[in-house]
Amino acid sequence: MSCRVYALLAALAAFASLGLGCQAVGGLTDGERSQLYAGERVVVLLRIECAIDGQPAEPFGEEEFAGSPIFGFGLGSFETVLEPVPIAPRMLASDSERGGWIYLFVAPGTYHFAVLGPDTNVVSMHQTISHSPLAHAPRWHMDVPDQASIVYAGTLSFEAKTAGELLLGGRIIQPDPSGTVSVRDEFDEAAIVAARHFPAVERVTSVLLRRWRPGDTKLLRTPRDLRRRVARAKEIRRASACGFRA
Amino acid sequence: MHANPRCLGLLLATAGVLSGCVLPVPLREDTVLAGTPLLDQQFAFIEPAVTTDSDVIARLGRPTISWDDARVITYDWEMRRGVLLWAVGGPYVGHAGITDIPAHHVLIIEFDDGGRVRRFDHATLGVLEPYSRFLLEWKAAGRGVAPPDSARSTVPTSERAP
Repeated sequence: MSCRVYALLAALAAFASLGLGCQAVGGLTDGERSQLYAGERVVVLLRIECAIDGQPAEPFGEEEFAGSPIFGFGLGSFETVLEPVPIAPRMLASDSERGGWIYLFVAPGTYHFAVLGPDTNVVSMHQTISHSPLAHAPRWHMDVPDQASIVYAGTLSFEAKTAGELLLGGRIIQPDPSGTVSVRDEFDEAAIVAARHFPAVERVTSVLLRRWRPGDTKLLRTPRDLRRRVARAKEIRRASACGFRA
Repeated sequence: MHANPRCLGLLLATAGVLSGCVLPVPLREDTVLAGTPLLDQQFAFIEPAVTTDSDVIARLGRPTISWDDARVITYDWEMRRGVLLWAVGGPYVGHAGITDIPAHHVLIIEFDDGGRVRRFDHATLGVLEPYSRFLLEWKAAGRGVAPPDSARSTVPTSERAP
């Protein structure tokens, strides 16, 4: 293979890592920890489970090719009126990472969590410019309550099948059309994982994902920080109006 | 205005390497892109301070959005307002296509604490207008059809410029 082909492959891998391959591993920064304790942000714990050809498989491990994972994720928030945009969930390090545990660090509110895959083509799906694949990806309504620090949102189980071999080795993985995606409740395990990775937080709240399908009503809730900003703006307006009157 | 010579050079170099064009073609809004369009007469029954939330849902079906803490629901649909013919190219590579220009229509209804319509509006969002900003501004500004005896100013059904 010529140097030009290797350079092209390296460039493609680097490009892929910009969008999907850069899932950060590890815990929270000091600033994020203070946001967590102040109730401004919440850790939402999820587990991704995958079976390929009926056999359990590592969702973020063995199928990687040139830094390209088989899952892509999207999150819709109040700002996007729940339309998902690409995100990179954080993985939990060490032994629990092997179990497919990921987390999101978000403000209390309502969200739509979308998942593309399992599919070895998931990176190129994201690079399509004429339409957004996440708009048609399976998605779930996620409720993040105000009075919570860690929320367990459920375990998503996906089924995939081998559809061939990649040119440079590795399997071509595609979603199993006969398979169904289910949300399982593994709260006890989630509590153990949370205690290991976020020991300062004592309570884990369970609010499981609910499947959302096109045509279902989108349930929107104003995020707490936005509510605060609006209330503050109202106070300032009221105060300045009083000042003018005086 | 003085341009930074470095930026100008970079712009010229980029323009030299890449080239492209876009051509918007306006069309009549007769193609539905998403949702179920609502005609004015379909929501003519809505009367502020009289119609209840259950009346609205019974007549118009499940809303697209239920913004619970604001007591606001919306019915959304998209019509094709036009198409955008586009092409981009560089040395040895090029891409072209046609993209729909949508007109995002919203029937937005706010209810009072008793579940009766406080005000409502039929608006069309601008192509680049963020939907969340529209919702927040509509909620804050008090636009829309309100009861005649309300202290709030009554504004007829509005069409927002793109």
